[in-house]
Amino acid sequence: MPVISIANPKGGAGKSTTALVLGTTLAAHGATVTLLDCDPNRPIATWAKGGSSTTMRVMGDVGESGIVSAIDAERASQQFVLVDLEGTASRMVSRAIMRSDLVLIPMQASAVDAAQAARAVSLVQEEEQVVGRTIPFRVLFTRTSPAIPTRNEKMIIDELRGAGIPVLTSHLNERAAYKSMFTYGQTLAELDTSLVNGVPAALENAERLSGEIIELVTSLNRKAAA
Amino acid sequence: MNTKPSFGFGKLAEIQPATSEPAPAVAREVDRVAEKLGFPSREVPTRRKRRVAVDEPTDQLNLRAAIADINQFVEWCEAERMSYREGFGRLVAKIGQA
Repeated sequence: MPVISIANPKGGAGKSTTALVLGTTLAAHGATVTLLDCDPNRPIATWAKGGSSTTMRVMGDVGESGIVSAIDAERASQQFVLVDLEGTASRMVSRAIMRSDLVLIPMQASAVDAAQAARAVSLVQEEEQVVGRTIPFRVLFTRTSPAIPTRNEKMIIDELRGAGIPVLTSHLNERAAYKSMFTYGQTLAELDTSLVNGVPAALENAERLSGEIIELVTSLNRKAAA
Repeated sequence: MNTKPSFGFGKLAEIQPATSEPAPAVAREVDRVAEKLGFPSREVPTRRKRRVAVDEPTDQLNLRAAIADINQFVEWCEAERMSYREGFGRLVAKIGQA
């Protein structure tokens, strides 16, 4: 049921990596997942040609006019619908957000990413007013060091928290294994550990992030039902 | 792949597909708000191509003709729902025929 849009108008914030890691991890746990690849470069649709045995369904030919009906059709049959949006401020992004149960806003701990993430937050908040319901969103830090948080990171996290912007506890760490998923067209679990470093750590990170999303979605569901 | 309970995968079964409520009638309003915030449409409308492509070299022919002939030609093309190029082609095809 939950439609999770992954949005940040800035390119390179980690949207497609987040979508792919989250989608394949959920599918590996037996969840039915559709990923709508709305990035005009079609990174996930290209990834899907790599022959991975994941059960995640990838749809790559979704445009501005078809996005809403594609989301509605998939949510009726799948447990999760992930929407990987383009790194542009566009009407397609806004329409996907309108139909979302959760918006993830991935960003790197940099001022440039933060400024663009703020645009996405403003859009979500404006749309809430129009559609007359809450559209929950969370900022997700990507490409962070698994070891020590940088000063930049701490500063930006503090600033977001201070502004009341909800931030996920889990980060998507900087891991070679995430890039290798795109290189080999495989899921983390399928990667050859003799060719790729740090697969177990990436798997652990992916599990932690996916677990937090499941917790969040179930608590949002309960709140909505109450 | 392990399923540590602390990661919350136990709750996966609670999440089920669901038909969504009908699309809100505010789609136009959402587009307007998005536009105001700098999220405009990026989709370029594509024009439909003509039905019959010209697959041979073409050039222009300007001619001064009798108005009566022109009128007859134009009426014939309209009646047959064809372009002047097609009409002219049909006439040319008659050359040499009895």
